[in-house]
Amino acid sequence: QSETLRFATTLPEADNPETHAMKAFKKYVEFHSDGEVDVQLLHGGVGGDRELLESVRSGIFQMTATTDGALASFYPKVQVFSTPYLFSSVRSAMKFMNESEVMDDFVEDVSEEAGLQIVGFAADGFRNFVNNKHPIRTPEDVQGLKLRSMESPVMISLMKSLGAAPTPIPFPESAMAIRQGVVDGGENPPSTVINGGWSDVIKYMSLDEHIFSAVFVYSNPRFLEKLDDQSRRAVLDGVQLYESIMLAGKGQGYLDDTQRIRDKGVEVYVNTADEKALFREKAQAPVLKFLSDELGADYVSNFILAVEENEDSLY
Amino acid sequence: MTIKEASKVVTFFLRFSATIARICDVLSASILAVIISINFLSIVARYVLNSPIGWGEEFMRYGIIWAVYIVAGTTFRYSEQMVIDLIDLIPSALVRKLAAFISLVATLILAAVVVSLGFVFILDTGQVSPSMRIPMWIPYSAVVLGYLLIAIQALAAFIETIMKPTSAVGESS
Amino acid sequence: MSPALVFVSFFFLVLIGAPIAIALGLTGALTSWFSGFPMVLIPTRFFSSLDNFALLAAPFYIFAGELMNRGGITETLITAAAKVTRAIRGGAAYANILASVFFAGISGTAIADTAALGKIFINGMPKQGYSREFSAAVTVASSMIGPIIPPSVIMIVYASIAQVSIIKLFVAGIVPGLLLGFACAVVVFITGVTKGLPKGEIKVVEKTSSKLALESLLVFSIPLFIVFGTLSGAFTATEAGGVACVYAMLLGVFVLKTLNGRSIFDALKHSMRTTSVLYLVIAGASVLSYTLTVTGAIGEIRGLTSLFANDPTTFLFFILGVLLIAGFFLEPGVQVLLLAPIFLPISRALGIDDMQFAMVFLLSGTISLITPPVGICLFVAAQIGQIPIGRMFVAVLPFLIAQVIAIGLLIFWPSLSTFLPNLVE
Ligand code: NA
Ligand code: NA
Repeated sequence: QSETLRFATTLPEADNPETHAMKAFKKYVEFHSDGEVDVQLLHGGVGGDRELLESVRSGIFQMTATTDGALASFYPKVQVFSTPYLFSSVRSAMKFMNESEVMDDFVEDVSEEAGLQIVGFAADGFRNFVNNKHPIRTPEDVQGLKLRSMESPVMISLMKSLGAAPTPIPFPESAMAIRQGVVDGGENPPSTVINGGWSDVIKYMSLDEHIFSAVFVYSNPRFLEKLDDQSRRAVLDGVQLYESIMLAGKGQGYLDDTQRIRDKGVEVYVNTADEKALFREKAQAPVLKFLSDELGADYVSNFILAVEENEDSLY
Repeated sequence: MTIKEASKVVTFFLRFSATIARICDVLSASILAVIISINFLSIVARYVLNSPIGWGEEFMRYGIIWAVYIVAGTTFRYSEQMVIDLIDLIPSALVRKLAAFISLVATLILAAVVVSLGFVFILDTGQVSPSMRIPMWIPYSAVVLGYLLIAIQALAAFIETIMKPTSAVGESS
Repeated sequence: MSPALVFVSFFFLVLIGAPIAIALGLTGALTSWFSGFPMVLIPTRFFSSLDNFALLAAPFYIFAGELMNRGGITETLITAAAKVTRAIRGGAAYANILASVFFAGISGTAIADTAALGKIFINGMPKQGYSREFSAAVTVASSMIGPIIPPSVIMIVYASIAQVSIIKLFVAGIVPGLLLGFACAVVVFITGVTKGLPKGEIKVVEKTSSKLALESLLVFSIPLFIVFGTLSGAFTATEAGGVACVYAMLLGVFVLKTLNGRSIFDALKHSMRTTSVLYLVIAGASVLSYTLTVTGAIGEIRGLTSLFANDPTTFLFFILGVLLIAGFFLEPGVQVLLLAPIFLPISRALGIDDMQFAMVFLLSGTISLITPPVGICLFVAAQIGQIPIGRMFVAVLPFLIAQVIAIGLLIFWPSLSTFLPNLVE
């Protein structure tokens, strides 16, 4: 008798990398498990990120994929991923997540502490500042801006370190809030800037790429254990296909979406490496201090050290 | 237990639950008052101090959920729940009472599911809230407590209905 | 579990008079039990479905409306409306409609409108020579304007499901709301011509014109305050609800001098109970909607619907039909929770503007409050006027037809729903 694998996300079924990757995953797993695993895809309508992780944890769903921030409720140490300018490229981040020892420990710890098995990594792209006051070239340009922020304490600490006033506003209200001037702008990856309707209400976007946004693919650990060998392989290898499609789709999408934002009349500024270094200098230390206080200084410094070794090995 | 003792227990239960219903009413209203104040303060903070209250939104969301579930039992007691009262058109008092009984049983079954599974769930939610970083069992307990109160007040309301003097139980016997 | 069994268990529980929240929740629990889902999703859904920023706004607007009601503002509104229409044939009937338009600007639900205005009009109009049925019919029909002209509780629920901006929905509702009022006025006009209606002004409270003008001005400043406060960027639509409460309190205590600490606290209690009743229904419906999604039943229904999804106009008329039928039994909030997630993706795929779909959906859903067998506003009015439901509905029927035609206009002319919100964006 076949096992049902419910793979749920928050995004609607549409022409986006998530949908394509999930459909390929389903095909792969059903084919290679010889029909032993019946994959059911749930595209939205079954809860937000926090609730999806909770549902995978309690076995209502078997798999989901969310950006790293969602895990913070279940495993606070993941917040170290919100360090500004942690990774210089998607390539570097992918190599680190897939190959470093620190990440092996991380995955094991998440499984033990949070009851969630991370089975794969992908990237959502870099987050960038947008606003309708002026172009953001250097950290000084962020000073004094009222910016919509997510409700995460580490994001709030990042914005404060740059002298902005972070204002938590729920995403569905955010475009209207920017349009009406409740806030001056916000920050998100280009795809979200378009999907949230922000591109119609902002004047400036800077590709300052201050935070890398990772995607973790999760499975319920008990579900994986009870699968037979062939089926478990099919699932884990299927995740690899999911990752490849996500990486390709998101990589291409980052460029296409930025162009679409530009086509809407938004002035897109590509920050230079020197300007990014200024951002890094100003924002990284206060956030690392915040994270050290919250998560333990040793853990944070070990993690950062491992990331730097990884960067050195690449460039 | 004699009939007299039983009726004493019932009277005590009705009085006790009525007091709880009133207390919950006051608590829930007070939470709404606090939330309206915080909402106002967070706007003031944004303009006057130019530094918004980061936890305000989450606090208000959880606060409303608490207020909703605390007063849920009271709405059952005061018969304010949304119902379709076509059953009142049926002349037989016995049928109406039977319907009220089935409705009570349905309420108690759902309450049992929510309270028992919810209680097990809050023992290990394994998470803290995204913004205030309080353990998630705190907001989740509202549901468990709420359905416990619903069970108590639905039972009390049912007892009050069948004890009503107008009901002529003998008519169909 | 087959959809038929879900259907049967839900309607059985509803018809024997079980609370709708319980009927929805228990049916959802049964569905997940028979589909082999971990039952823990019942308590977690009961929490997570209410953990939504948009839903914060409803108690605010319910409380603001409650304060106005207790602060004697309803009487002021009706007196102002009656002054405007006193010289016309059928003046009190037009005043009824106009008062509903005014009242809609401060109240978030149709039931509040029927209950508050009904007490005065359903008992007051017959004294001037209108029939009881006609008085009640004008009252309930025009109370449909309440949740369409902002603020609106049902729009808040819709925004929480569809992930659209509350303020955009609010602004989109202004024209369709006035259209509903116009539809009612046309029926009154035709009745006046064919059957004849009395003249004369309905007397509620004696006030000097200057006092009345001042009070009306203060009261009408509230909806303007909400809309312009939000559009100017002073606060978000949710925050505006809370600000409206503070404003209404100050107005009632210091200007109109009709509120005190005790009546404010009573209003708080009453508002929270009203909110609780509504939110328990929402939580129950969300469990059912969730289990239907996860078991794939929603996908099947969506597949069937695609037969009607060949062009926007056909599809929107199909929506109108489905909601009218569903509305025989389902309360509008439940319709939003169960049906909007099914049809919204189709609407978006057909390229229908989100605001047009929302208006057609919300108006079609709202008028189910005046259709039998289950029409809550119909019940409320029948109770106030001591009128049998059957005769009540016959009197309402012409108004219902006019309102359905109004929805037809919204379907043919998208700009009626989209022009204003596009203007502010
Ligand atoms: Na309204
Ligand atoms: Na009216």
